[in-house]
Amino acid sequence: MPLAKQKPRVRKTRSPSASSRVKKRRVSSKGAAADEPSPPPASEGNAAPKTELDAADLEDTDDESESDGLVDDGSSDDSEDDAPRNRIGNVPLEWYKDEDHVGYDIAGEKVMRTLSTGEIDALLESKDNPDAWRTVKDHKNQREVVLTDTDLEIIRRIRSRMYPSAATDTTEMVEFDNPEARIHPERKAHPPKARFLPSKWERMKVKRLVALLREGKIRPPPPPAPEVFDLWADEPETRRRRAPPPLPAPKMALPGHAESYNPPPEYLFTEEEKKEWEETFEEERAITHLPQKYDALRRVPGYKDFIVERFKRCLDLYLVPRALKQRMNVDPESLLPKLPSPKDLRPFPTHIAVAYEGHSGMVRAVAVEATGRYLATASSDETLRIWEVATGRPIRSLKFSSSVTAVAWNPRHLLLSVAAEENVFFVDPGLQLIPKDTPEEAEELPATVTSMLEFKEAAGVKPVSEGNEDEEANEGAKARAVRWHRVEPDSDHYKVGCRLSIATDGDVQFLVWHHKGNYCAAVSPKARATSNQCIIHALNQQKSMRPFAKLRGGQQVQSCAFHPTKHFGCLMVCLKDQNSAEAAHQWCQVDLIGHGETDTIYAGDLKLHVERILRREKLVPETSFHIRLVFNGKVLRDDAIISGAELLDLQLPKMRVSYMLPEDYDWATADWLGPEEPSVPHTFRFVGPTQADPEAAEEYEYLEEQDEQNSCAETEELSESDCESTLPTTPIPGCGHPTGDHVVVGSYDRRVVWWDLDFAKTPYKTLQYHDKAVRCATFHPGRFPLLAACSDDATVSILHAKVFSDLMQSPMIVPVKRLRDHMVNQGFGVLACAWHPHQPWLFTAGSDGRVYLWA
Amino acid sequence: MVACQRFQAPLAAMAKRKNKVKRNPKGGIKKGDKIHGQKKGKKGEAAAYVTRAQALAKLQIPLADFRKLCILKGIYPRDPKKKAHGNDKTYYHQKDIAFLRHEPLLNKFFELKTFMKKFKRLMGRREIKTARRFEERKPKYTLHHLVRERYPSFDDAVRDLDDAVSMLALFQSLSADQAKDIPVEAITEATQLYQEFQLYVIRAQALRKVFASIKGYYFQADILGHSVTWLAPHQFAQELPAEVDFRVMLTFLEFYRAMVKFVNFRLYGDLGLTYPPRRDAELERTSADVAALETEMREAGKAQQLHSQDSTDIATSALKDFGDESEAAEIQQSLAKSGRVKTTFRGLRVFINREVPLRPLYFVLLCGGVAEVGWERGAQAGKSAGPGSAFPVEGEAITHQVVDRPAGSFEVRPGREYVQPQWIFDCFNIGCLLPITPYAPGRTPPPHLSPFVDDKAEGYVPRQREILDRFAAEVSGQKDGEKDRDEVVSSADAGSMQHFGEELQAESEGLWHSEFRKKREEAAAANMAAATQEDSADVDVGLQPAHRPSEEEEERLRAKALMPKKHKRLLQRIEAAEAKREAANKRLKRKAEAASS
Repeated sequence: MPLAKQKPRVRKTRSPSASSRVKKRRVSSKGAAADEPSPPPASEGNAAPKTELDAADLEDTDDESESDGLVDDGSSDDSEDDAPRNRIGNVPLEWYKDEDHVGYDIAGEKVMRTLSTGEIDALLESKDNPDAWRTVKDHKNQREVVLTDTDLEIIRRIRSRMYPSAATDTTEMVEFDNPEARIHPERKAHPPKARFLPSKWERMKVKRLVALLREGKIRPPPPPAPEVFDLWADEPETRRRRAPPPLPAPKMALPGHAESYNPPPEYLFTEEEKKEWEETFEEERAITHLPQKYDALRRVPGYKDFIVERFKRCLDLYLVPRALKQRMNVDPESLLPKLPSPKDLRPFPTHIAVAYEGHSGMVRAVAVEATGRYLATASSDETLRIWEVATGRPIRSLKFSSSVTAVAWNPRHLLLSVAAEENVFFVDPGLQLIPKDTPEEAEELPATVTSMLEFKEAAGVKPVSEGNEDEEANEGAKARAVRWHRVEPDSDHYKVGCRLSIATDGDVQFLVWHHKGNYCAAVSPKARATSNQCIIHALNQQKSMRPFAKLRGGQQVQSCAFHPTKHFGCLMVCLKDQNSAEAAHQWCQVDLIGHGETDTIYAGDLKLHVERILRREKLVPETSFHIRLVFNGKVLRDDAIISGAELLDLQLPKMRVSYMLPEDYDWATADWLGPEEPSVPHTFRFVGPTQADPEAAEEYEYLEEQDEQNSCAETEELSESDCESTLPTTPIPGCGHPTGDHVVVGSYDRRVVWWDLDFAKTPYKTLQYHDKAVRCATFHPGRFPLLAACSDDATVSILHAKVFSDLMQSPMIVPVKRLRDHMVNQGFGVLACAWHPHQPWLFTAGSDGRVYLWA
Repeated sequence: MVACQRFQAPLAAMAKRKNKVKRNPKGGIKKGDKIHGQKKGKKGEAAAYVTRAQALAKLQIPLADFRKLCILKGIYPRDPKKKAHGNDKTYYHQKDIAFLRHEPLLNKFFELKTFMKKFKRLMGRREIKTARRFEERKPKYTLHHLVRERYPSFDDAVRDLDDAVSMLALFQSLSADQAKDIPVEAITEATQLYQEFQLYVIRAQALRKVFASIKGYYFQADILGHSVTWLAPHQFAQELPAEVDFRVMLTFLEFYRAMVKFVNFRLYGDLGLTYPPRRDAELERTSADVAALETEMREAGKAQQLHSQDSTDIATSALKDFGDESEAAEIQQSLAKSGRVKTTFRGLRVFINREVPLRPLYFVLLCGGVAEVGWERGAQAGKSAGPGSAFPVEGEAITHQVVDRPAGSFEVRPGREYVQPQWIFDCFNIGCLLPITPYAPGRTPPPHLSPFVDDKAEGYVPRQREILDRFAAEVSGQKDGEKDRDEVVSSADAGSMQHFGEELQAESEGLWHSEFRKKREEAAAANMAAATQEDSADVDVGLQPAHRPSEEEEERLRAKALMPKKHKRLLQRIEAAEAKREAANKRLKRKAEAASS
């Protein structure tokens, strides 16, 4: 209770008076502040209280603090001395600045300006008066006030942001309003009745809520779900998820020894490895960090890419497409095909039987005589050597003026065709072909050779001797290339046996004879005129023809071969295309001299067509034909010999028919190169569909004899870099299948390519067995199912290549032996190989100048 | 030929006419056009996969939400065979997107979006009180249905723990960051869950391998037959890289937190423990890292002995169950190995010095069945035992003290061994106590090998591995010998242990002497340079005989020539991989020889 009593008292004493005083103080202090220049707010030293505070209110507080608790309510704070002398009210003092007074007191007397404002006075005063520092000037009332200690204490407290009076109890609660203490109502009016009655609306609402509660429509809030529980308590759902199966992300790779803080020394990088690691692209590095070695665990620093690596893993997890990849876990041995043992496939050449020594340069070509007694080798040491096969005895050494590039024996007669750079010579080596026990033939044949090699004057063509340079110069390159020359008896070439010569257009790289011994095809890929790249020389007629008047742009003839059995003379040609970069196998068909014809004809046209052919070929209708009927690539009829009349009656809806002449047709008697027809007869037909031109390919679906063409540039010296060109083609001779339906080609792109001509125009098999360009690939001409391929890696591979007579059975190709005795010279290895006609013997000629017989 | 043309002409014309019908007059193919009688993108792969942009359009959500949904729901792009919209697009399976469309979380995201709109409006109007009240009604979502959906069985979840635990281990080492929006709750929960997981591993004695790498510490535990491998960083303050998008990381963390929480619950339940484990509040306050779960860990220490006895029972029962001898032997071997690991440190009292990383060591020691561990880290001034430590450094019972200081810079007390921390790891990996000489303080310890590498399969066995294997064989041989005398390992003669010691001695004498080592490194570098020079010596260009392969090689070459192209390429790939590995092994061998000579 005393507290309760005291409270209102304090309030009463304080609140009104304090507020009024504050007001007053403010007024007065304003007035004081107006007079004096106001210094910065109370921050420094003793001078501050002087300016800040007005003497009047300081006295007030002083008074109050002293008389706290004694002064009663009614007493005024203002004593007589404290009362302001100047009664001008709240007007600025500067209105009086020109007067000698500053206002008027309560009696109406002037309050005179008595206080000095001079600095000197102030200074003197401060010297004289010890209380000067606590003296405040009251300019409005023109008096000086000396601050008491209590005042100073109050100032100190205020400046330190405390209550002015130390007696103030800050914890004491001051009650401003106490409704309980009130005994009178605030308003006179009676409260309405409704205030004393329960609310109707409330009752209705409660009723409704209760009804809802009873109905169960309002439920208490559910208890909070447990934060963690056994999530896998029940069985997983077996419902099929109609979606692709989830693919779990692969786990991160486990660390290897290199990641250790203290790895074995061999796992640390050398300078080179370090450099290599730094130069590798970040994604391609095998390990993500440089291996480092620290000699103590305390020296290991924090790994700065730790967060980045984890972040990358996160990105991998949600950003990288996932796919299920079957990991192949294959035993490499199981991939290798099981081959029959080479022992079961004998005979095949395995070792050197005879070495033919004597060449000093690369041996470029090797040729075996048809009976297998003699061997001719052509070398870049400008010699052609003839050896006795069985003994290795050199029989002849023919010296030419330039390096000898190709050689071929005539299959019927003992004469040679030799190519020495641009010239083709027909050489009579002067050998005995037939053994001595048949003397009559022995005498006959050399005579035949001599007569065959006699120069014949062509009708209507002026003979040109070798020396007649001017006339030759006048001739075009094309004409010159087919101009036959007699080798003058006094020349060096005559002495070595050369009888006839043809100066062709470019280096002749390949020579091959037709099996009847009349035609010899020469290939010179570098010939200036495209038509001169492949020239067929007819020995009996001493005339030449160029089957390819035109070649598609950039094509080059690389090699050629006659069909081994079809005597009407199909020519197979290897071409290469300089324009196309990839080895596009292209095909062409050459029907020699117009006696074969291929076309798509209709039934109605057939008669007309046959008639046309017969008329053109000047044949009687009774001539029997070899006919092959092909329908949509399927052979309907083959090998049937029918007469021309029968052919005319043949009713066929829509077919491609190829007509061929019968086998016994005599080439020599045929009037195929009459004077009215120039050297390139119109009957040569180049029916060459190319894959590059699909329309053409469609047009010529049927291809009887196909040849192959590869691409690449070829340099003259057959340097190592020019892979992917083609080298000699060899058609398979009649080893168990008389038709010669298989072609094998060695190519500079290291492959041996095998075509089954009846099968498809794409290769049946491509063998990549050699490490370098394949120079030559050849079938055994006799009864042995052997195939040899020689290569620049100085090896010769022998393959067992058996072709079955049953067309359904595919050929068996098994490598059986690798012959490795040759050496690599200037990047060249084995340059040529040839089979013995009857024995399973192989002749190889290498760039090391050696010629071997393998048996 | 004329006939041929005549025949083909109408066909070509027909083809042309047909084309004309198909094409639009404006060119190109319009959306509704039929090709071969079918509309484009209605069937097959084109219809089964949608690009990300299409998915976004379908789901009507921004990319950020889509990303978050994909991460939470575990949906990832697929790699269709035919990419109908181009190779540069990301393809999702149409079914996956359909699942996303029906995901309740998607609606929650929409609700959150609207909530944030309203909340921001209130804040913008400075109606703070209303906003606070409104915030109480913020939509909340849980992820447990996603955990169950992604891992239908508990096994699936355990199989996928690797990334989850690694992520927790990373975040428990980070601190909250306002700029990157890493909230405090994420960090504390990650820490808590990681510790709980570690506690499980200790109690289940599941740790198998440990590896101190330059990236951090790798641990591998065997949990319910699945190997769980995780990487904990070295305890250093990490700088948060600018290139890392922490929104992605935090979304992953959000899911992993939910997942590991449930996995922990189940794992604890399997062990018969209550989850969450009790925490010592006092210790947690003093040192948050290690000793918070100290009481539990103590109990774990007691329980582990019981547990290891159980495992031997399992071994014998497994032997009975499996009829197959070899399989039984294999199981026995693996059990023996794991049993050996569990009891590596049995009976040891280890004190860990202040400079040694406490967490990994303490964890490994407890997993290895140590009796008691004391440590200095977190100790108050003037004391040598950290909060929770079993004993101070003066403790009489201490058998080993782990020190990582130069020799002579610490007080050596008699009656205990001083080892470097690597000794603990190496011992644990091999499953027995190694000789301490090479691991003495101040020395460079022998190489620390990764226990995750199968050296024999790799083809190159480092020397240290040989040494360790030999030692392990000897120790296990002795143990076997105690059990039954019949199976005496031939190499377990009395001198071999000494031989090993000598080898180590020799190795240490030469190798760890710094000057000598430097000299040897120089010599090694010279050796290596010489070796490389020999390799790159040029071949002369003259006549060369062809390379003559052996009979076997010849046979192989013959067979290879006839291989189909497909098989040939496969074989080439296999051989190239083999050759690469062999070259790497060869290089390692050469370098090792050069370093040791």
